[in-house]
Amino acid sequence: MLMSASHKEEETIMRFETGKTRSRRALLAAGLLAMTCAFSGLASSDAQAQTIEAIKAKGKLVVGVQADQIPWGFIDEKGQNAGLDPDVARLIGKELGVEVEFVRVTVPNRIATLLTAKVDVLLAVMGMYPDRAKVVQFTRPYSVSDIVVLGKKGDSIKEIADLKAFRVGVSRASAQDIAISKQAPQGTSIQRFDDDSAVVQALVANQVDAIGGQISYMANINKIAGEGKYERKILINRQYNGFSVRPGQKEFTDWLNAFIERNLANGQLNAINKKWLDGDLPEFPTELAGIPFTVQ
Amino acid sequence: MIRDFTINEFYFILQGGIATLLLSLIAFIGGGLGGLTIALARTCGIRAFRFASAAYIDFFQGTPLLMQLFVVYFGIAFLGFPLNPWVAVAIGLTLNASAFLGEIWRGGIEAVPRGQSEAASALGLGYIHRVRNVVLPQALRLSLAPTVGFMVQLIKGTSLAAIIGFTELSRSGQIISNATYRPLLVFGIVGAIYFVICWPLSLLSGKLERKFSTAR
Repeated sequence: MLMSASHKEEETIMRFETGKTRSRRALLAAGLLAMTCAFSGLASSDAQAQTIEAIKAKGKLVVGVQADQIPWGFIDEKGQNAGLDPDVARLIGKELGVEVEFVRVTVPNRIATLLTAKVDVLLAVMGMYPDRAKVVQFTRPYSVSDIVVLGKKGDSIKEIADLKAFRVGVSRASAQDIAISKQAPQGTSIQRFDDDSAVVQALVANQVDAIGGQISYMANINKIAGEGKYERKILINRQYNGFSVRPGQKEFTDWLNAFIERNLANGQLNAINKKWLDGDLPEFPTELAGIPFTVQ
Repeated sequence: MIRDFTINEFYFILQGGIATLLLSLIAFIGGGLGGLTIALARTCGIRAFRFASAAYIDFFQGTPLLMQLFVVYFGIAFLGFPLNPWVAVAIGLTLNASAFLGEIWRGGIEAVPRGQSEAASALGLGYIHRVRNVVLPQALRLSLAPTVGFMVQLIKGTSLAAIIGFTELSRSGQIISNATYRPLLVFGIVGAIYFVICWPLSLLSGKLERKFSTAR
């Protein structure tokens, strides 16, 4: 189980490690996460229950967010945490009537940070996968990371088979690399770059015709190349993100699920999504295989 | 969504530089004291001390600093003793730097001709005198270059403290690079700041070496 967990983790780490994708570091991080998994039994057994009352009495909610994932979680020009996740976290704080304190987590350390009770909850673009659900308690999904193919306006890319006629750029060993390498027809020219910004540069510099990436790249491309030159072509993969808490926190998990349901219904979560990702939230599934949304 | 690189972004990186300086200082002080202990234990006459310090060096040289920091910060918290990140990083960097400095200085101590300490013994000098006034000054001279080399490595190695949540120089560069999409500019600045921190050390080392060689 540990083997498969670390393998899965590595893929995901590579996807999000946009700064510099160094496979050696990712491997090490995967090892650390495997260790986290090994430790987690110990951690969950002595974790204290977080009741809503206890959080209110404490007067603050400590939230783990990422700091280098525009537009999910980043540091704004004033040095403050900003982005989709911090906005959702502030909404949680508002409803609980407590202050929100942010802890900046990274992909390799976020689960350990949660399990050692250094944060109350993670809103760290954490994709919901069964391996992770064995270690943390996910809530229902509140956002999606879509992996898409982006290309020049006018190029005809309607399905993945069309990629054969184009040069495609991806960041090496990322989810988009894995998905496109698997699905694209034989003989497609796939060029692999070290990180997201290099992939985007390659597209803008016309070294490739299309790229695989997150939907949130679009805003960055428009800023660099000017509006209207590039567009989203096809959806390759959809990842659902959930909040995560320590296992066994029934009351807190139930409250968070109710929070998501309430704010999906009243449109607040959609408004936040629109603000940062420039699109509406899709319908969320009511269940995901192997990932319980409530404490079992 | 991405923004321009302005003085604010530069300031953010500079703050990371200050964190890097503080981390390095902690590592130098902790590693210096620990390393001296290890080096002396490694070269003393008591077999158990020699064996224990050799095992210590092998373990900490043989495992990555990233893992050591991770285990100190998160591992100890799992056992029910949550550590402040500064305490954790001080422990982790000290343990690691002690092993490397200990081994470097052991080499220096052993390179001092045996006759020196034998002569000091013959003159009736006790262990402390012998080590402090005869062996160590000569050993220091011999190990100056590798010591400075390791310190420079260590400064750059403090970037690993990002794993336990420190926003030091490399990490702040990463954050700004992903916020501005100007990686060349950002990491150019980060590199320049590292250089500004490390270069004086190398200068100092050259100066000391010249000073020592004229004293000979």
